[in-house]
Amino acid sequence: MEPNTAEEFDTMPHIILTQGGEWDPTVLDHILTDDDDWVSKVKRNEDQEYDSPFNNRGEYKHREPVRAGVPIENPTGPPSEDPDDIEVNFHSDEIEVNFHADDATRQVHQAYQEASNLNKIYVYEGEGMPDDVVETVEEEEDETKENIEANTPPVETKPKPIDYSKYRRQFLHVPTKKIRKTFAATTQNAASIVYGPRQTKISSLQTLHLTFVKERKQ
Amino acid sequence: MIHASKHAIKRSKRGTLVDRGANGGILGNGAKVIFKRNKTADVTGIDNHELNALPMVDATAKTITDKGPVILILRNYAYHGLNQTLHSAGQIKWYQNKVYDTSMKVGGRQVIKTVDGYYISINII
Repeated sequence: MEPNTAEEFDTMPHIILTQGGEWDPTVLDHILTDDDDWVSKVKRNEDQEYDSPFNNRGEYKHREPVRAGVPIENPTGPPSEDPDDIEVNFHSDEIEVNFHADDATRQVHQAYQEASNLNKIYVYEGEGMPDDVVETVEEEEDETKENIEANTPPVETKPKPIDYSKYRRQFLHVPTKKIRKTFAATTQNAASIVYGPRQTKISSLQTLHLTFVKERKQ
Repeated sequence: MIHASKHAIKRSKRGTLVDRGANGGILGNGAKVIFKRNKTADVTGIDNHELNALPMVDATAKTITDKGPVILILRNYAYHGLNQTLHSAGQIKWYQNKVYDTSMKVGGRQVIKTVDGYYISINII
């Protein structure tokens, strides 16, 4: 807005923003707070009521109670049925693996847990078992799967001849033949049980003792 | 007595200002006085002090509307002569004009629609 010239006043259209006469600044004064019925006067029918999703205590009003036995839908959707839904990219110095499905990620996680299971039990049997009977890696995987299904720890059997001569010190240097007969009279299936690195010597001996007692009962 | 909002007075060299808290217009240096009335007004809210006995005047000014430049007829304004002209939203509405002084940032229109159908833009700064 700027002052106009006389020529502009004569040529341009006139817009009356405020009219003449006496201006009383108090004509707009109105005290509403003293009116007891002010609420009905200020509200309009077209005013929309705000429907908050939370109640007066701030709790979500549309919450569904948790019911036992009712499955909850997976927010990521149904698992993919494509077994090859894993993307592997070979770069110059590294390998990039992308898992595109939730089930593939779970399978890899289970495989990792299986591979890193330090509590795997190995049982070494006595002499007489030829080397060609040693189970292959594939058989080991199948056995492991069966054991997982039966909820039992995986067991792998390996042949190992017993050197009775190294036990002579514990048997008061008796002949090796007597030591072999003593072994034959005691346990046959229990042997060195290898657990994780945290297993103590005492717990290993306790396991041996329990196996021995079990065989005696049979 | 005419009251003006303090925040509206500190602006200078800006667009048209509409003070929704004022109960009367205050004329700055952007209009041409064509008639001086015998009545005076005391104005508070400008520069943190009261301006006493400002003359009530009628003035004209050129502004831009949606239909091109027009001459605004401003009657019953307290003449200050400095800085921006302050239009009273209540005073303008009293004469059947529409004042949409809500900022566009919150869904407003920032425009005055005169009784003759002209649209005058409002700056909110």
